[in-house]
Amino acid sequence: MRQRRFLGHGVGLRRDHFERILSAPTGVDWFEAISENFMVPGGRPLDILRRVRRDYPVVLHGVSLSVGSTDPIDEGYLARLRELIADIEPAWVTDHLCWTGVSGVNSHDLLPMPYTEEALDHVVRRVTQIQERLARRIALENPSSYLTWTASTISEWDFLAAVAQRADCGIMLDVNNVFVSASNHGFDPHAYIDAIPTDRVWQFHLAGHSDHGTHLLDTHDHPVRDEVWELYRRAVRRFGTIPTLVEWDGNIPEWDRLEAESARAREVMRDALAG
Amino acid sequence: MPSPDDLRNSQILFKELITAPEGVTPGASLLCAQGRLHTTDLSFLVRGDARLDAAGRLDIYAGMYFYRLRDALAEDYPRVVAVTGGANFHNLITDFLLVHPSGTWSLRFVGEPLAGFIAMHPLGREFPYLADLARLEWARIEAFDDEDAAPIARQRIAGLTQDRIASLRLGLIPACRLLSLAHAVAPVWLTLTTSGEAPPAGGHDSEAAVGSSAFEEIPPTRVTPPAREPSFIRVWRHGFKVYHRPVRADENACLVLLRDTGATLPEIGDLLLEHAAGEDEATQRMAALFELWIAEGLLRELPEGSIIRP
Repeated sequence: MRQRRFLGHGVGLRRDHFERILSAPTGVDWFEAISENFMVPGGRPLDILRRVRRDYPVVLHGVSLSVGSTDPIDEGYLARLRELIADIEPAWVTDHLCWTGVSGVNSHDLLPMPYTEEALDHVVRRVTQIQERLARRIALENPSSYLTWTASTISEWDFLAAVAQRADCGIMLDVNNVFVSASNHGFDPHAYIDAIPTDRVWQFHLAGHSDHGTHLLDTHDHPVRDEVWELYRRAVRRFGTIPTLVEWDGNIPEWDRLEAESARAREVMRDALAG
Repeated sequence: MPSPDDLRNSQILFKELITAPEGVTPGASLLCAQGRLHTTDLSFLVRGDARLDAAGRLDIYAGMYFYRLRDALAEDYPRVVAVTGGANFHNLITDFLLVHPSGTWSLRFVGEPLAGFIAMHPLGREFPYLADLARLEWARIEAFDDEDAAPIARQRIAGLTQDRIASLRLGLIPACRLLSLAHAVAPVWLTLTTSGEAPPAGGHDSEAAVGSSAFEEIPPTRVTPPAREPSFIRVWRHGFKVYHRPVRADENACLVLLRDTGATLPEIGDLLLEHAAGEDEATQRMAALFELWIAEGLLRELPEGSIIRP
């Protein structure tokens, strides 16, 4: 599978920055929008997204596809997502390797999968069905996780790679999540990066996290940590010029600070490729 | 009995544990007491380690489940939070989620049943107007991202003959909500100016983890309780800004007609006549309301012979 086109360095589209983004050119190349926040009939957010799309590539990033749930696929959700895709014409569509609820209850959280053969078959089947319904491939992100199922028999990276190969989907590799999960579960983040097939990665995520003593939490409310920049360098050296997005969802800084974080990602990528 | 032997049972058990209102360990005890779990040692489900045992690992997800929903609902209902204070709102949402766990794919829709729930909750008895205040806050959220529609413009009216104006079939724009309340809560809404009053432009959903406790320290705001009296409020969006305005019974009746079936101006006039002392008063009232509705962007022109939503 060929990698997707290089969009450059982007940031998440958040309401705090709507006015700034629309008022003048920015130093970022593209935006990522949380799909669910724009799956509404009308109003200002949708209008803003359409206006942003006129000037920038946009990636739609969902949090509710729930590819790992054992509940039936939510056809209503897919229909709304299809409408948004037709409206916005995103560069591509991503969501997470997780489940968000079961028995009709949505936790609104990215819950970890047990990494078993049964779960692998299930996710591959679901992703295949979803891609057929959407008439396009999607990319799945590795979420941060805070526990390991006792039943797990496969490593997360092997599970993710197998899903991508068997369902013929992309990988949206969140470098911060690799670091957070590695710390929480005691595995080597380099081994994770090195095990992901190079031809499947469509996009990188970078973000900050918080240290809660017993575990790291993927809070997106800090600058990217030095250890994550280091891991990003390794990822760039392995995967090449992959579109990279900085996420910042809590304690959202002024636009200039966010733009500077994206610019740093650009520099790190350039240095990693030069070195 | 849920067991971890297959994916679905594992997910159901996981969900039950992280949504248990008292936390994972009490939740496991309850499942054991109900005969739905064979042990409270959750290491058969989740691996523990030197840093956190299995229940501690699950507690991370339990905390994120509740706080994410509570914070989203607090953003939707800032004035309800102001009246109740953070601790009461926290407990309200704990009770609410037991009855109305989220069944929707977006946090945007989770709060829809909250006003009705408040009406039946002890806090609704302590603050009898609280459910109506919640209805107003929710109607503003609905109007915020409801379907776009161009309201009929003054210039369009100006270019028509009187006969043509009289034959126009008019309806309400979709982003308009009509509230029939038991308390006059509009002054309370005005009094409670909070930092969170803006609707969630851009939405609540994100993939970031959450967790906070300072919320519970928000003190209740002392409010003069509004009178218990029938009250009508219209909520609408003009451009991208949401407004609301208390209206009299005659205007509300007209707006209901416009919303439900659409109406011509003569039909509106007939309705106003039922509320007025005479024809002159009804005519003057219609002229004033029509002018106001046009100025505030409430009306849209319906195709001739069209039937709008029942």
